[in-house]
Amino acid sequence: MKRTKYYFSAVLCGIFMILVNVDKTNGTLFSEIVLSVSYHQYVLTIDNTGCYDKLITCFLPSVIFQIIAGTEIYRHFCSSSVYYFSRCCNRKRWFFKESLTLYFLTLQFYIVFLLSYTVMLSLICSVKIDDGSIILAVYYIIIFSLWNFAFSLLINVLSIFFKSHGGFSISIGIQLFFSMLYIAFESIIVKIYDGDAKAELILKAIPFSHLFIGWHSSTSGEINSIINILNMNFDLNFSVLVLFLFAVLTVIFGIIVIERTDFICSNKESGG
Amino acid sequence: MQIVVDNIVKTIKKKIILNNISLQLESGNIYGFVGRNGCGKTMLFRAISGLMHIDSGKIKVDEKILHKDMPIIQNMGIIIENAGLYDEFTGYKNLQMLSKINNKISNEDIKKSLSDVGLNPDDKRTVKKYSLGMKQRLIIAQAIMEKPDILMLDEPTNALDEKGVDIVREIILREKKRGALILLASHNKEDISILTDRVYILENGRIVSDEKALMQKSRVPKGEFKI
Repeated sequence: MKRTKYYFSAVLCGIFMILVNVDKTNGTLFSEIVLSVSYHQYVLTIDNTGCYDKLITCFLPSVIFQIIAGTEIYRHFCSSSVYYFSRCCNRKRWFFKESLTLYFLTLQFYIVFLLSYTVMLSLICSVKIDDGSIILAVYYIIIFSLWNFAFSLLINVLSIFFKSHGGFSISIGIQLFFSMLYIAFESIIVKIYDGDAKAELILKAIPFSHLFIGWHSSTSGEINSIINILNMNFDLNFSVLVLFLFAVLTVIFGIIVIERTDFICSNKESGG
Repeated sequence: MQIVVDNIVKTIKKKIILNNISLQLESGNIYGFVGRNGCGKTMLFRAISGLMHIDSGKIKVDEKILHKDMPIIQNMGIIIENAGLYDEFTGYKNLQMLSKINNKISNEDIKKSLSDVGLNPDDKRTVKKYSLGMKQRLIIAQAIMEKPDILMLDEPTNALDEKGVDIVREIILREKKRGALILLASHNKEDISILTDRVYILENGRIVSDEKALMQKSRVPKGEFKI
């Protein structure tokens, strides 16, 4: 896998975030930077239109990463499947290795993205590393890399059935559907502020919620004081665990599909 | 090496692609497969190689059952019609990537395979810029580079000029002499008559005729097969 394109696009995403936040000239905390790339603190509702632009801004690096990585493994099936797999006796091991490489790429993408955004922001205003912010950044990188890894892998696997544009559309469609759930449950979710347990449960059940770092809680007092805006019990470690399981399930799904795939078409994109 | 294909059946989208095919193939022989487009030649190659699962029947390779004792035939070289390589890499890089899967050969072996098919190993052009004939030569190079025990060649002389055809025929005969088991599908009558020891004629996924190549030579007129 060529890494340069990932690093380059991560830096571009960092530049984009700078352009969006160009008004920040009075100095900022590192924890604020982390929160600003992890969907801020907003609850999505139809009325709360002010948060849509923030949502789109935060979603952009994910979309860009998924566009690039979405066919990284699949291209072996598309371009030269017969010649590749006629030599590959253990497809399970091959897919696992490819998945692992993809995960490390995702991890590197988010590290480079956050670093480039922070470094560039420090050129236009002062950035202060506040207590707990480094650990928060580590949580951000792990949570976002697991999410994007799972969906990128899903695109790769679904592309085998629906070609690359189909795989991408389905994967992005699922993510948009998750975000729409906030609107569907709007009337219940707004009750979170009144301490409604049912509302909390629904919010946690929407998979997209795991990406809102600001909604989480932490056993560490330092971190908890930065986040936990909704004042609910939603541990960061719980989200890491859930997304890790989701990623593992995607890998298992991929292994099953890859093991059973027949190489009927010479080129999956053109169908030849 | 001995491959026994025992009554294999494959259906795709309710259409029978391979219909009770049985064969016995042995090392050091070249087996020709002829038939109209869509008669099942390529699918038969995919099934024998293990790249495609079959619905029923058995494929045994030296008493080992394919998909049970082994997922694919090991040490195999294959050419499938219309299957390409990575367009964004050079020919050499393509072969290098494929060779790294099993790490059986050196870079020198790759260069020799490229030279054998008449390609320049130092050519810096990407495959995207290759002519059809060059792409075909490259695909032949990938099939022979690891000195496989079995070669499955689907239309190996497609898109080649006269010189290219001669080179490929020489290679095929050289591989046979080395002891490889060779399966050859071709519409080119000369390929079949010059190269093969036995010819199978396929029609609608069935083998309708199985003849010694010599008989075939005297029966079929010059030019392309029109079955």
